[in-house]
Order: sequence, then structure tokens, then C-alpha cells
Amino acid sequence: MQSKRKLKAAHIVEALQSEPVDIHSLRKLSISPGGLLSRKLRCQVWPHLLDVTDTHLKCPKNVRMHPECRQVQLDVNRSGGRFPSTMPKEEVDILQEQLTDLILSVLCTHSELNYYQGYHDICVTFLLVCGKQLSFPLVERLSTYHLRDFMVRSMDSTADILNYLIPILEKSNPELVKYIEKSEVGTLFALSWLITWYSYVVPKQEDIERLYDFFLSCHPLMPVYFAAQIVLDNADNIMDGECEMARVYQVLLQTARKTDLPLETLISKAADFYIQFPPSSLSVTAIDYYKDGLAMSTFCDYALVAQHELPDAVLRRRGLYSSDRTESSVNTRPSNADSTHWSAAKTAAVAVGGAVGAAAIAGAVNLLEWAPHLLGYL
Amino acid sequence: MSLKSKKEPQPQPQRRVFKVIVIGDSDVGKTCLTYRFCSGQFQDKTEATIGVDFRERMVDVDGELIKLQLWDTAGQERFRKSMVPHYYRNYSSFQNLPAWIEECNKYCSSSGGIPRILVGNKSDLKEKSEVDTNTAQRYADSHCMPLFEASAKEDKDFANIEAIFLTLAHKLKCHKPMMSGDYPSMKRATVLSIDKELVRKNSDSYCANC
Repeated sequence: MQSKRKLKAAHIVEALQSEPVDIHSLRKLSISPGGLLSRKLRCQVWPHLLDVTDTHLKCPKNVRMHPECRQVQLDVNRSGGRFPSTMPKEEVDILQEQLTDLILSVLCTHSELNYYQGYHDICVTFLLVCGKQLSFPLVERLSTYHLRDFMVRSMDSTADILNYLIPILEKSNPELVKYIEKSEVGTLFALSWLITWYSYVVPKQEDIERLYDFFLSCHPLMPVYFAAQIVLDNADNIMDGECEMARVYQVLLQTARKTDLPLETLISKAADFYIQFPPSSLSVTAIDYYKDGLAMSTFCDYALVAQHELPDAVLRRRGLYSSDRTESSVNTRPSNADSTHWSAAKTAAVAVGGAVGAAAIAGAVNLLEWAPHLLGYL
Repeated sequence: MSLKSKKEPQPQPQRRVFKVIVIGDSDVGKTCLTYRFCSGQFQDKTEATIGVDFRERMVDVDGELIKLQLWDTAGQERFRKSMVPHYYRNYSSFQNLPAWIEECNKYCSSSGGIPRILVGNKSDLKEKSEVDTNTAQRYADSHCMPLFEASAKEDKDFANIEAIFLTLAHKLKCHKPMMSGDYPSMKRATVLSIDKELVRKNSDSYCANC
């Protein structure tokens, strides 16, 4: 076990040290079991996953004058439970001050972004992993890409994104979908999962960080695919009882809070699902997806987008990209393919994207050659 | 996986379910109040509620066992459809009460006269209170709501917390007589909003709620 971990760490360092940095491998390694293994490695890899080159971005001044300052402080003041219980209070206080400044710095830099309760939960993890200096450019980038749809003025886009859950579930368990629809429970139960990237519900900080490795390497809809896996994993429990809104809501709400969440299995399955049923394959909803201008719909290839396009420019030209469709043609594996290394490789291929399709698939094959080392890891 | 034994289905007594929606500004103590009522404990480290949380408890109302479902909502304005920008312009949760009541009426108008209760939470912080009881009482009276002042934190105040929700349950019970054929849709949304008072420096003070 330890040697596999060491081997993986060596692969990560190797990818970091190659010239230019081997982002393709870093994505694959972030997705495959164990993710990036340690905070030390995360600090180094996350900037590449977010394509942040300027790690010394200057923070704006007078951030505490921001109109949302009070709301941010109210939420930050109550975030104490997110810091290690062994951390001295003075240290927590300092980090909470930094957290407030981090959030407000992003908001001051981007007046178009609106703060939401739960955003602070995401920022905590960056602060803990990367420290205040590096967190600012990373969170700034994340907010203008992955989290952008949650930060527009209304929450309608967020609701649209949540609604992807149902067609994803439908692909695997139509009976469950019927049950959920009959209960009229809706998809609100997964709201906190999505907009906090599970920070609000997953009990262990190390699991949260592992999940971030995964999400940062993938399409912004991946958290919804992940939510679907949690729900599917608990289908028996959900359907065992009265088909009544409150009961179903309560059961669903608790599913992500389990301390024994089978994280790696869920990640692997979510990745598989993404490949088999990319957003554009999700029937009716997919049409809305390209139509209604969600920033997420522009994420055909995050790396390419980040390098060459500003999100607004991409939004204006939305619909030009159809990487999802390209990806779906890649899908030839049966749905029960559950070998983790395979899905990690394929998802990395998808994450790195359609425009480089053929090359990415070639990369996936390469991964398969050494991936058996990772089998049994964790 | 489950080891549920296959029992003969027992004739279930018709059990009524009342829904209580707790609304109010951020950090006034909505989560602590509902948690105290449902578990008897004070939760010291509550975080901001994201979306809607859910708790429930059975209560005995005049010999009838009723399930009270408490829907604990996020305080931030954007989590609500009716986004009124002025909610957060001033710091007074008490002054925000009209907006909360308006919101409540907007969604509940069809059912007419949904029972409401105003709760002034954090009464243990009396010395920092900015809303005096008389003012809160006048406000509650003018909107036909009972006023409770309570502290989710103080153990000795637990009876008071119980009284809040039991009063609501009573009001609901009178509001909706038991009728045959109405189960299981026999639920009634009630709004209990908690509001915090003006100029709270950091994290303390009295709250008024509705």
C-alpha cells in the first residue's frame, strides 16, 4: 500500500517537473484512486488544474467595504467546525479573518459575482490546503469558471444545473426516478452538495480535499454526476418506506453525510457515468443546456477554454463547441465497467477534452499500461 | 440488505403531520431553535444552513399524537424566490419583519390565515437587547401573532421552546379539523420566522421573530 502511494507520488512529481508541465497526466492522477495524496502535492497541482500561472495575484484593497461583508462575516464566524479540532483558537481566528478577506477579495475583483452561503465552505478548503496567498488566484479562477453559474444574481441557473440529476438517475434506475418524482421531493436536497462541492455534508476534511482533486480535473457538472451516484448507492434505503416528500427528503439529505461514504467507488462510478452519458446525451435537458447560456455549457475543454478564451467570450459563442458529442462517440464500454483505473483514464481524457480527442484517448491507453499499479490502492 | 421482517400490515392510526417553516434573517438562531426542540440539546457550533434542512418530532396535542415537521431554511436572501434587495440593507432583523411576513403571505395567501408565531431568540443576551419586549409585543399583536421570547441556549428555557412549537401545533389543530379522506395530504404550512434585532455587534443579542 505504502509503496503504491509512493509510486503515485513519484508520478505526480514527475508530471509536475516535466517541461512543459504534463497537465494531462496530472488530471488523470487527480481522478484516479487517492487523488493527489497530500496537501503538499495539492498545493502544487491545483494551480495547474485551474490553469493559474500568476500565483502572486495582488489582492484588492479595502475589501471590507464590500456590501456583502456582513453576510460573509456571519457565515465565516460560524465556520469554526471546519477547522481541525486540535487547532488553537487563535489560529482559527486568524484563518477566519483570512477567509473573510479571501472571499471579499474575489467579490471585489469581480463585481458580477454574487456571494452565496456555501461559497465560504469551498473557500475554507483552499485556505487550509494552499494558504492565503495562493488561495486568492485559485479561488478567483474557480469562481469565474466552475462556480460561476452559482454566483449570478438569481439561483435559477443553479436550479437548472441541479435538474441534471434526474436524467442522470433515469439512465441507471428509472424505477427510483419514478419513486422520487411521485414523492415530489424535487432536487433541492442536493443543493448544498452542489454549491459547496460537498463541504457542507462530507464529514472528513481529507475526503473533501480528495473530492476537490476530482472535481478540479473534470467538467463542472461532475459534482452532479457524483450526486447521482450517492443517490443510486442508497436507492434501496430511499425506496424503503412511505413515498412521502418529507421522509424521502430526509433520507436523501442524510445519504451524503455518512461517515463511511465509499468515496473512491463513487468517484469511479461518477466518472464512468460521465463518459457514458455526457451532458449532451441527457435528452431533453441537453437542449436547454446549450440553449440557456449556462457558463457550464461552455466547458467542453476546460484547459483550452482557460488558455484561449475568457468565459464571456465563450458564452457569446456558446453552442460552437460540441465536445460532449465527440466524447460520446468514444463510449464503447459497457455500463458496468467498474475498473477504477480504466475510468480514471477515460475521464481524464474527457476532462482534457474534445478538441484534443484523439490525442487524449491515446493518453488514456498509456495510462492503462501502468494503472495496474494503482489497483488495490486504498 | 435490510433485515426488515415481513410483518402483517398493522392498521395504522391516521396520524396528522404539521409542517412548520422557520424563516428569518441569517444567524438569528433558526437552526439552534429547531435543534433544541427536536433533540433537547443546544448545538454550540452551528454553521450557516445551506438550502433547507429538516427535523421532526412527535408531539402530543390534547391526546392526539401529531408529527411536527420543521423545515429549517437558509437565511440568505438569494435562497428565496422573492428576492427583496432591501432585506439586507439594514442590519435589523426586527425591522425586516414586515418583509418576512409579506413573504409568508405571498406563498400562503390561498390558505388564508396561516398560523404564525413571533420568536425573540437569544433572550439570554438580554443586556444586549435592542428591541424591548413592549415593542415586539405591539408588533406581534398588530399581526395577530403570539410573541415568545426564548433562548435556544439556556437549558432552563427548554420548556419555553416547547411552548412555542406546541402553541403552533395547537393553532394548527384548531385550524384544520380532522376529516376523513384527507390523509395523507393533511398538512398545513405554518411559518415561524426568527428575527434578530438591530445592531448586533458580532454574534450576540436578542432577537425577535415571527
